[in-house]
Amino acid sequence: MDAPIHHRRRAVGALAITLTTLLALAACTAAAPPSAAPSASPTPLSAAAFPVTLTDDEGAQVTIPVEPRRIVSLTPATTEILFKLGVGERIVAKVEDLALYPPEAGSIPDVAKFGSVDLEKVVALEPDLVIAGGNTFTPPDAVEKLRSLDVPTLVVYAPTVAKVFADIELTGRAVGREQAAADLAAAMRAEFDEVAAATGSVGRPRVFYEIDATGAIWGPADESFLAEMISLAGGDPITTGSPDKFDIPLERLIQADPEVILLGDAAYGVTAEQVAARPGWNVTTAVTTGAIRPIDDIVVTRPGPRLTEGLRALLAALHPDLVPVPAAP
Amino acid sequence: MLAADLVVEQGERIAIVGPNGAGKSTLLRGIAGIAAPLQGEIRIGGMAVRDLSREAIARRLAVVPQLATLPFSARVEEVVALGRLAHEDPLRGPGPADRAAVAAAMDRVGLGRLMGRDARELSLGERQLVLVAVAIAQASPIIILDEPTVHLDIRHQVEVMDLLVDLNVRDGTTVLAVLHDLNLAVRYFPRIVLVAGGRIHADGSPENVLSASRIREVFGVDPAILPMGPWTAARAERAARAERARA
Amino acid sequence: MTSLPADLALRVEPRRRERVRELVRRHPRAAFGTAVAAVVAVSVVAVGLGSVGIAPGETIAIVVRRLVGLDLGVTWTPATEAIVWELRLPRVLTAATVGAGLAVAGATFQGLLRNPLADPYVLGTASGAGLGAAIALVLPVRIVFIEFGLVHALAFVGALASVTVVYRLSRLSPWSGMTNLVLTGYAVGALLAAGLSMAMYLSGSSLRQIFAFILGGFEAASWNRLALAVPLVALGSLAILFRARALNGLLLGEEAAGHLGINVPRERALLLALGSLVTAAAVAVSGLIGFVGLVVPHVVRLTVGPNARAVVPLSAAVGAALLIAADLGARLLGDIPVGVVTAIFGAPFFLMLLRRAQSGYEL
Repeated sequence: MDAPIHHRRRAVGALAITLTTLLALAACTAAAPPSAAPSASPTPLSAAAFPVTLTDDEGAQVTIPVEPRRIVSLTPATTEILFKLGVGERIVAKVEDLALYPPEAGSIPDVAKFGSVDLEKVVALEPDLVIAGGNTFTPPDAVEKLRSLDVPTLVVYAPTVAKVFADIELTGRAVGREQAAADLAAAMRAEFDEVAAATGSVGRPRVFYEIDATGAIWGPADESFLAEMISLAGGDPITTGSPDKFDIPLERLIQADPEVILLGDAAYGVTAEQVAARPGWNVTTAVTTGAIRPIDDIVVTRPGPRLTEGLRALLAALHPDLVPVPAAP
Repeated sequence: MLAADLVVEQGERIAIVGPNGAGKSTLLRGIAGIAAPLQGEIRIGGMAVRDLSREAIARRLAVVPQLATLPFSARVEEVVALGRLAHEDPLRGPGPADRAAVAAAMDRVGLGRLMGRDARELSLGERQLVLVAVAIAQASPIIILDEPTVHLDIRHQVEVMDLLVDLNVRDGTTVLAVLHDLNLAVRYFPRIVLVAGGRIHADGSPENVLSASRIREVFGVDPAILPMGPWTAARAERAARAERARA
Repeated sequence: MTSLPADLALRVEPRRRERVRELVRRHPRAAFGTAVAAVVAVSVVAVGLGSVGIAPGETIAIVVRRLVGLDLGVTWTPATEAIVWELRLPRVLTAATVGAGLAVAGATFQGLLRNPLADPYVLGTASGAGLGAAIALVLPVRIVFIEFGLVHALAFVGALASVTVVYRLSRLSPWSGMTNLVLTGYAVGALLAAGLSMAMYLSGSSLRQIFAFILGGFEAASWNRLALAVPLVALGSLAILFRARALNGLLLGEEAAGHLGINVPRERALLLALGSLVTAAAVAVSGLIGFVGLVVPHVVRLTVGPNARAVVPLSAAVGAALLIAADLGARLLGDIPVGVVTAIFGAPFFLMLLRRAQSGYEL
């Protein structure tokens, strides 16, 4: 009677301490300055790194003749990665980012938005590297055009968490920060592994991540990035039922009965009270137990260096009893 | 359906009459090469129509339809110029000879005052005259008209008929006109072909073809045949005098 | 100036505008020359303007250097040269080619179908091309051959295939040829449009690209694509010009055309094929841009009359100038789709044309 409960509490306590320590370590590592030396004195690795031929995420072979000094970043995640790798000052133009990060990027001129690129402005800036977004985030015609003008253009696309790490390493190699990128990716991998291990033995609540519900209900598709993040954070994601479908019928949602509802649209003013008031939603466990939590959609889905922050946010939302979120360093 | 056996000599002026649905238009379309006969053949000047290109047929034979609609506005002289399509250089377009033919045709028909006007704004009578001008500009030895007087008032009817007689007598143009108006047929055409019940019922001079009994039989009406009035007689006399003067 | 009594009023000199119109009508060749000059002028302006400011001297010097190898003593950066020669010039030339092609095709279909409301897309070409492009974008296949992807190829094939289907189907019906064509074109077009909607529904992330294609644009213009589009449009338009006689003959109707010496079935097939070829080439390169093919022939006809020998070349020139200007406008207005610009200006213009036509204000 008493003994099993006692054992369990002790096990949970030990686990909590271990996890906290590991997470704290990981946080500190991530906050450490990049191990790559400043650009003035390149490490031997960087010096031999150019010219380099890389294979981008669409299989194209791109040759970068010299270490890029004038970079155009056409995805918000790439902007973050470049700043994290310490080459933020080399970015001459970027894509418009409504959730701008880091703040220093605000002074960089915008030459593109989702779905369109002002090629004239890009060419006028004489870039020596352009990093574009795959899956038509950057129009493929624009990529083609830049390549025809002999501008080294890499296309990155990360539909899985593993690909995010690969893209960070790819970007690092492209800008002569291979070591820093490798370290960053390793640290992120470690953090992910730890969280995955920690949540492995804990119960997985059924989670519905609401992307938007003003018209149809938009949620994670099967095998999507979001579904993977939720799984890695110790949740059982409720998905739309198909990898190509992005909306979920209310009936399916109610039948799936989420235990936790995460509001990815919290930034647009959606609150737990609104959700609880929606007709039909009140029968779900999440609503009845009040487990409706806002979450920062950007860090959870942006395939950049802050993905671990997103993982932590998910973990805190799904297993609040499991781990206290470490204070920002 | 029509069974016909018809021979037309050059320079003849023939009216084709008959009740509705008798096959007059079919006959016309066969002659013009639009409808191919199931049996037999149609020849123009000894050449079988089916062996001729449309351009070759157009140079031998011009057809004046009842009415034509224009999808775009066009000037009268531009419409008349269409008659020259079979003659003009396909690439370069109309040359001085073509332009002269157009002017002459418009003059002949009396359309000079309408030059530059939008053909879509003309009255029915004027439009029919334009279509006749097109055929004249085409300069073909044979002109076929499909009920050219249906929409015309009496003055324009007479104008068109006088013009046909003029073309026939002065230029030697062979004229075949499908007419619904028996009076016009009788007045202006020395040979009448009566089509009824899918075949040629009679073929010859007006008195013979359009006798009272025949009219009763074919058209189902009781006619009263009146002798020529003084006015018509005077015109006929004038025409005959002109013909003699030319001879 | 005192007002004249009514009977004298008719002898007053015609208004200046009518005199100019009369001049233009009498001298279509001079009008064509002027139109071509306008195309050149608009092109120069369009190459000189863009989101990056470039001094006109530099622009001219770059073009002159590239075209004739002459050095005008002006310096410029490689970036500027790339912008002028690789970005702007192909774009302007593509707009010219597509504008000319669509206008000629529009004039052809209007003359062929004897319908002033016909445009290059009337026989299902638009839906066919759209569906072809959508299929290409939805298929997880990526084929590129000298910058021609599956999208261009399937758009081209789709346009031609739909016209072929329409033509074949229309011959099964007892009505007259042209009415048939239009009605069948409508039906087939509607069916293909439904297919397109379905493809868009299933497209997922490609939806934006499909939409971009449907709206039309010249962002993807390049010298290689021009190399294929220009011969198709130019030769097709020239071939149509050589058939101007048939187009003229059709003015009074199909049967009348036959009487005038035109082999109507043959010309119908030929003009249909040529018009569709030019349209398909234009659409494959730049998507579905509307209004040019509808409005330009009307404007030209208002000025020079219905003679196809004048309408076809003038439509080409006016269409080219118009689309270059529209693309320039689209670029300067923040890169909006060019189809939106042509619609915004085309629709009210067309309404104005209709109004004037009704009031009997004709030449």
